[in-house]
Amino acid sequence: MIEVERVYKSFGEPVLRGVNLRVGRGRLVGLVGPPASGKSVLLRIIAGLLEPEAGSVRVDGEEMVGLNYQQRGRLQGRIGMAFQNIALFDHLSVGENLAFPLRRQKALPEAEINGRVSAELAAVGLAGFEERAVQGLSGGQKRRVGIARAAITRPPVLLYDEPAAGLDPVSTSRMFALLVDQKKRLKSTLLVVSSDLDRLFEVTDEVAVLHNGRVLCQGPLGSVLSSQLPPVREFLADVRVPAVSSVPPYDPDSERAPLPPGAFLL
Amino acid sequence: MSVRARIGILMALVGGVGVVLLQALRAVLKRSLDWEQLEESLVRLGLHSLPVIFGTALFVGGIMVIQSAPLMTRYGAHSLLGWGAGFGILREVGPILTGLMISGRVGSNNTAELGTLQVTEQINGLRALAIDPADYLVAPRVVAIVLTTVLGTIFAMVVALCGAAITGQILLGVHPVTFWNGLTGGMLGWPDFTHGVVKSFVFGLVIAGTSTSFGLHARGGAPGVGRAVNESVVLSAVAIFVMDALISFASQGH
Repeated sequence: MIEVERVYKSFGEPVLRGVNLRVGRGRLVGLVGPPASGKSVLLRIIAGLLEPEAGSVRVDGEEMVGLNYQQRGRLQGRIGMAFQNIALFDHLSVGENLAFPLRRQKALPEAEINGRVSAELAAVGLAGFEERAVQGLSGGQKRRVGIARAAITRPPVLLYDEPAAGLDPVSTSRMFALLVDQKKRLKSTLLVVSSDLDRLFEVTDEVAVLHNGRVLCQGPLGSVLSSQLPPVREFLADVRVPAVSSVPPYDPDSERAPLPPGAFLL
Repeated sequence: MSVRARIGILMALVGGVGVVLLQALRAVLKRSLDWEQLEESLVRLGLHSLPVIFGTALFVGGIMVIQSAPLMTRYGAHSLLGWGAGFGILREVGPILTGLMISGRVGSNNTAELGTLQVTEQINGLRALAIDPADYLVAPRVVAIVLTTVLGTIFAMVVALCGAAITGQILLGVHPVTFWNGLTGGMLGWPDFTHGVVKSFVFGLVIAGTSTSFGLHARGGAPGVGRAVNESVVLSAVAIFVMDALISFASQGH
């Protein structure tokens, strides 16, 4: 569970102006808003990467703000985060990237670490990619490795910043299906920032709209879409909400399924 | 830019270097630094620098003899060749030469790597995984650079003296035993060697602190990393000469 109360942050100019947000345990909440509204900054504050000037951030009831480095590190162990620009470690292979946090924790034997890496890679449709170099992966594959690495320690809270940025429509659908699969499989709480509102709204339990450094409204999609607040109405004016979700259930095997005759992958 | 602003920037630079060195010291004292990274850094930053140090030191030792040859010949002071070369190499040329070589090769590499990790958010990635970059990145690199500078300086001193002895024999016909006697005849001693080693230790701290701090504070993508490398190398070189002057002055008993 994530609880954010009256969080302020500025970088010369105010970026967050008293943000309130609550993500219930096991929920998938989409955080949306216009560019430069402070979404990524809020995610970094929740992850403990930035310290707010004021306010409170609680993860599973424990306060993140004001902790010293060691205390914060312990709390960060309960959070997995995937960054917008992926941030995989270039000097490590795919398998080493995933195993890295587990090896640093020194809590599991090597055989179990390798088993969990293989299982997590299989879960994101990249079975057998352990020895591959990160530089040789496509953008979508890198994103899936990032998602797998964020979840490798089975953290109760997962934060994803633009997990589908730069992906084609098919890969985007698979990515959001993967998030739903992770939520069910790991029973984690997910907070997802995405600019692909149509796809995001198909998988979220709730939506929070951040505008000009404040969360203007939060709730189920229907209530957010019926908001009478002008900035929210303006921002969500073009959102298309299909009656039936176009995001198919996640199937890891579909990532490696044989292509039909005459088709090819770029 | 006002004087006050310039002083502010200078204080921020010194503060950044100080924080880096304190983080490294804390990790060493707590034994929390990553030993695998230290080993890897020692090989990559240290061992791989030896050929460059060897080649440069050998020729500098030779050049010192070539420059002093006319005077040595005019006054027939061939027996002083070992002392002259040793005095210059142990107290000045060894540490300065190695410091500048390490700054150019290792310091720039360190800044570029850390800068790239910073602008691609890989350092944030470490922190998000609850891994302290001070233990994993900063401390191993600082320790490796300081060790490389000190051991590289001692290596450079030996090689430069060999270069001077070889050139002395070829150019002036000074037998290596005569060169050795000049070196160990009593006018040079451990204080001269220690003087050079202390300098190299300080230069190592300067290079490690500056290159790491500039790398960690790189902003603005690839151009930002390039700027950080440039500024780091220039500032390291200036700081090496400033510290050299201060240590030389202090060691004269003023």
